[in-house]
Amino acid sequence: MAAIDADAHVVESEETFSYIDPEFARYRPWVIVPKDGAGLRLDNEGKSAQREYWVIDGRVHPKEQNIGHNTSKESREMSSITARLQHMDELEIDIQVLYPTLFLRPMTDDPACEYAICKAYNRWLAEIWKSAPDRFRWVAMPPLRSMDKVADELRFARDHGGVGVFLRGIEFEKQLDNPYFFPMYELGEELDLPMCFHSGIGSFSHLRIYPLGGLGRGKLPTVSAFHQLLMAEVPARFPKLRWAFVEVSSQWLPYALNDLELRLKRRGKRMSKTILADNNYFVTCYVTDDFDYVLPAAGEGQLVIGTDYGHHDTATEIEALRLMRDTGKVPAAVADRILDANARALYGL
Amino acid sequence: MSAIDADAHVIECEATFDHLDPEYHDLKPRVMVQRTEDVVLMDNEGRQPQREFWVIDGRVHPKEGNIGHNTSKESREMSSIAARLRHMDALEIDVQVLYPTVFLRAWTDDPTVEYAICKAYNRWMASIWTAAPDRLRWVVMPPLLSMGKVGEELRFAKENGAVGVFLRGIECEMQLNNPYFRRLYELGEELDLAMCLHSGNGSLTHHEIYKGGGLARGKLPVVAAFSELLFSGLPARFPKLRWGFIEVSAEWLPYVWNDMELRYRRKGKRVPESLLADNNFYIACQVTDDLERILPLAGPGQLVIGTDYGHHDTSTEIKALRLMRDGGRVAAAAADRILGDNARALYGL
Repeated sequence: MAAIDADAHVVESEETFSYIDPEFARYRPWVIVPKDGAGLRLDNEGKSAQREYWVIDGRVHPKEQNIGHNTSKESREMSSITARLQHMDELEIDIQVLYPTLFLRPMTDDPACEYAICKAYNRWLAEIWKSAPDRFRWVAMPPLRSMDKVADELRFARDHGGVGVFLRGIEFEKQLDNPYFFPMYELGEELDLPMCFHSGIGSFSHLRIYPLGGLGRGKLPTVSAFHQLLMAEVPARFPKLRWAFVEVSSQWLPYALNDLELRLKRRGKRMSKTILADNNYFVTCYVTDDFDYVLPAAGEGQLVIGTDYGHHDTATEIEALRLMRDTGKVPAAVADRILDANARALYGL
Repeated sequence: MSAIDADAHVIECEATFDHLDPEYHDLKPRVMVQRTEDVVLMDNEGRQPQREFWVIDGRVHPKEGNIGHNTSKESREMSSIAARLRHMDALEIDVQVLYPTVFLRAWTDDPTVEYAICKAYNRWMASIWTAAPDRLRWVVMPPLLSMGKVGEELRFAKENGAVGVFLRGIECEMQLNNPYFRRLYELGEELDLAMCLHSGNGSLTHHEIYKGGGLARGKLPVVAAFSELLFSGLPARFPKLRWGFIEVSAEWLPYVWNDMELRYRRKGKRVPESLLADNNFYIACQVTDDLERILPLAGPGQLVIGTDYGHHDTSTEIKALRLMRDGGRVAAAAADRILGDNARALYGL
């Protein structure tokens, strides 16, 4: 029985953007530091200060926030694949599916810049995959502002270890049930790449409303996407496509489904008891979720789990897979499914 | 034991805006109809098509969306207070706290328009209150884009039957824990007016992203505000101020509680068991909520209930108060508190 970490992270470094095409060199992200050397306090129990910032398309982004200091720099930045694999072995993790860090927030509204950095990121992940193809898989960054280029990127990703498409709860200032995204969903179905909605947002407008962070900024938009897609019956249009809702816990499932049921009732419809399975929906859970409450809503085949490796936030639990297996919060057979079969089903492993 | 409907609505009509100051006459909302016979179908089982629209500050809003046809026009538009009171008697409702309808959505970013219309609405509500001061109370619309004028409006409202301040999950394109709103909260504390965050959204930007409506547009911003206010420690700065979270159900409470625990834990703190009571937080529940799971978290003194009278949406249950009392979903003593004492506490009745 394998243990599949359905949500682990890479932390981008200058190496990531060494893959930028020369013609897009001007879009290459670079790092700045305060002239006086002073760092800002971080919400990480004093383990490090925020000194370095990325500059991408004229905007500044903190580089050292949300860094998990229970992982080594070389491991989370993938400068030593060996170190990463050693740590995975210690944690008894067989496979990690890799998600970005920097791209959890909106980066640019310039299509050329977006294409350049997505392409660079995807090439970097392809190299990482090659070094351990049985242990690492990853989700592709689609250049959504250039939908004509998305197909090339998804095909490249699929041919180089990609097992999903990275999305956030709002993309390109749009809800994810917007027909704008349907060509990508068709591609996902064709290429057998699930749509993976990770905690985070792709909307500058939304970020401006929620500068103080919190539940409303990164988590609830993903919950919204879960709900909107079902209400709009988008999954039914792409019946082979799989959909994942990652790093937002699963504790909200009873609430979202209760609301959905009320809305469907108004339309004279009944909500299926197996709505997640019917729509190929998967949700990553946390070990802190109330499984007595969540499992009946989700169904045993639809939950997966991740460590949020590399990060330090409310979703991070580096021992998550072991805790799922060993603490008896769910029956052993269900734990096995969450750790293995469900993740294989989601990511097509 | 009284039955207090903690969330009932008025439907604005042309008479509402007869209360506009003459100097703002040009800003008066107008009702428009489609020139052709085409109609927009409504989500109300075919009872009424959408023909009339409000035009407010150059934007079109459906006038007949979300109308509860189990209420009479004269009753919901308050053109006959007697009709309203008779219906309340028939429903065994002693007191209703009145909320707006068209203003649940974002409707202007012009401070002058906002002030003019809020002032008119508040005068209309005051005239309704004088007709039945023991039975009809209301929440004031604050002109938030002109914080200097908010004091005058709140004082007027307090002297004319208001029991709370109407807010939505996002206001002025900001989260409610933004320091911009501190003056409002000071005034609320001074005047003993509860801050009543109702399902809805005051952000034109957010409306643009979530054009399709749904959970994300009106409900989740209030859920986010609940979390953000608590986590910011803001209620502790205004210890006498009360806060209501209205028409978003209470079903999300286990999720948000779980998320709060994770966030508190990172700061080395624990979520107190009496979190809501400690912060004077009240939530309007729905009869479809899993109250067995929610009550232990909320506490016996923190839930209220409303009928959403006048509307026709997922929160509407015109018999909600009777169902709470007679449905056996909670112990009789708990039901009595939800119907009476808790609402009195929230609204200072």
